[in-house]
Amino acid sequence: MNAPHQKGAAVRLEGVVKRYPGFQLGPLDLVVEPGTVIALIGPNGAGKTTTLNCIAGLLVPDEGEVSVYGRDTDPNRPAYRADLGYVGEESGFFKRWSVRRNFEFLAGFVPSWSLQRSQELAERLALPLDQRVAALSRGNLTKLSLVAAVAHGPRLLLLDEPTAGLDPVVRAEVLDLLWEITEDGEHAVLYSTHVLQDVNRLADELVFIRKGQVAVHSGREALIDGWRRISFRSSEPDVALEGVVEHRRVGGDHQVVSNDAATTLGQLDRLGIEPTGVSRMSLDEIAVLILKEEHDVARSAS
Amino acid sequence: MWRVLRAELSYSRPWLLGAFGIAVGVAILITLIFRVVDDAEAIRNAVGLRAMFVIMGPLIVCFIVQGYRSEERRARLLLAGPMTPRQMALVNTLLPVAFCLVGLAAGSVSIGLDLVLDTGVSSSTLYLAGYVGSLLFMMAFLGLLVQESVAAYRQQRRAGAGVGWTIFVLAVLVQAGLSAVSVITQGQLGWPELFGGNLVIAAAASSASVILHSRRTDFTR
Repeated sequence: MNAPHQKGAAVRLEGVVKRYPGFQLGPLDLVVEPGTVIALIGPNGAGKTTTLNCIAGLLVPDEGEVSVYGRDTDPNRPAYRADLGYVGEESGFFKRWSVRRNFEFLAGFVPSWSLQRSQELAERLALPLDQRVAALSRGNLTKLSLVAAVAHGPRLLLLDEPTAGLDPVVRAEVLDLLWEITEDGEHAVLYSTHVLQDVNRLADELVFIRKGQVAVHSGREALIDGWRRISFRSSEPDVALEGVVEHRRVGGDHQVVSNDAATTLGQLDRLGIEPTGVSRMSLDEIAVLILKEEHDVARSAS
Repeated sequence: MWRVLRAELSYSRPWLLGAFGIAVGVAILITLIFRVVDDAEAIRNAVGLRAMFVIMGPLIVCFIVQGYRSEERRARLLLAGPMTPRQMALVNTLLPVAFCLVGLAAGSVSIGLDLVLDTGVSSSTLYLAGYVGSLLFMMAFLGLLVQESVAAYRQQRRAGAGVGWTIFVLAVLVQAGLSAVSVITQGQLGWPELFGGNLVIAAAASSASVILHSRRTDFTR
């Protein structure tokens, strides 16, 4: 089912627009290279799920092109689905059937879907094969979706908040499995999340989405390295600095947050101002500042 | 596509068996009641009623299954595989046909038994039983048409939604007209016209449903 002859990006979105009453996703451009793990981060209603649904072919964009390993995600030409596994909130299983029965159906329905691999994964994740899907806990439903999504060996995984609502033990199991899948460097993963601890463990790149637009697309390390909280003293009431996304002043004490610390510190140096403190910021702090509506932090770096 | 259809029929087997169980129970009850009445005309009517319940059972199950498939978001599972929207639409259309065939087969067995036992069944009673079955059959497709018209409207496909709703309104008017003429003329309108009307409506509704589903831009619901 895998198609090694299909070269190019794992996912390519070009000018993708999807309109709803009161909301528009895009225009969105995004490239996911094979072997890359990208986290989509954004508040509820920002467009994360819509983006994933467009890539999965569950939504047809109003404008633009979406391709997976070079093949358009046209629902009428489903060959692209061979390379795709999708874990969403709803997976459409036969709820009154057991997990095993659902697996047997998928094995006969989806080409290359391996019953043996699904059972091995289920065993490893302690997923009860003989329990009815309707009776599964939230954690087991996520495991089921994950096993169903990977059992045909797709090269691209789309995960819509895969760890939301999971207890820490199940969350760790799910992350372990994802880590193993991505370890070979061939699988591309695009996942949406609110849980930034997961990002630290898995993601190579971060895409922050706000109101249907990409606010920031950056490498994880580059992002964390670029942002700094900088304090300095100056009698000037307003010091114009590049890269500053937040500026607070109490008397002569200034505290700024910069998304381009090197530039900001260089400017301070040229102005002859000695920083009194420079501190790293956590990903949580950075995310909050990026996603706050009043901040304009549009920046793309990798 | 056939694999999916088989799976859906297999999935609905408990409901189907339950419906037949209820139908058989009702048939026995009707037989007992009409035996007590001990009227030859009533017994002839009972034959038609029994057949009607047996035919109706699977079609009522069809409505339940359509609801479950929508609630369980089956499209999302099927779109993980090699199905196209048109194939999914054909499965949606073939399901009521399959249930109807099951009902007709069971109804035929019921009527056949009555003929063998020589219970004096009249043809008009059997036509009535078949007519009620064809009404439900038609309604299953009108249900699909409404579902697709609502989806088209939500997906901003206003022209598609307009066509869907127009066919629905015309179907209701044709059905109402046929029924009214039949009542006013006191049976002058024959069973073939009434059956034919239902089948034409079912065919129009199913064709429109397939076309509307094939043009969906949102498969998340």
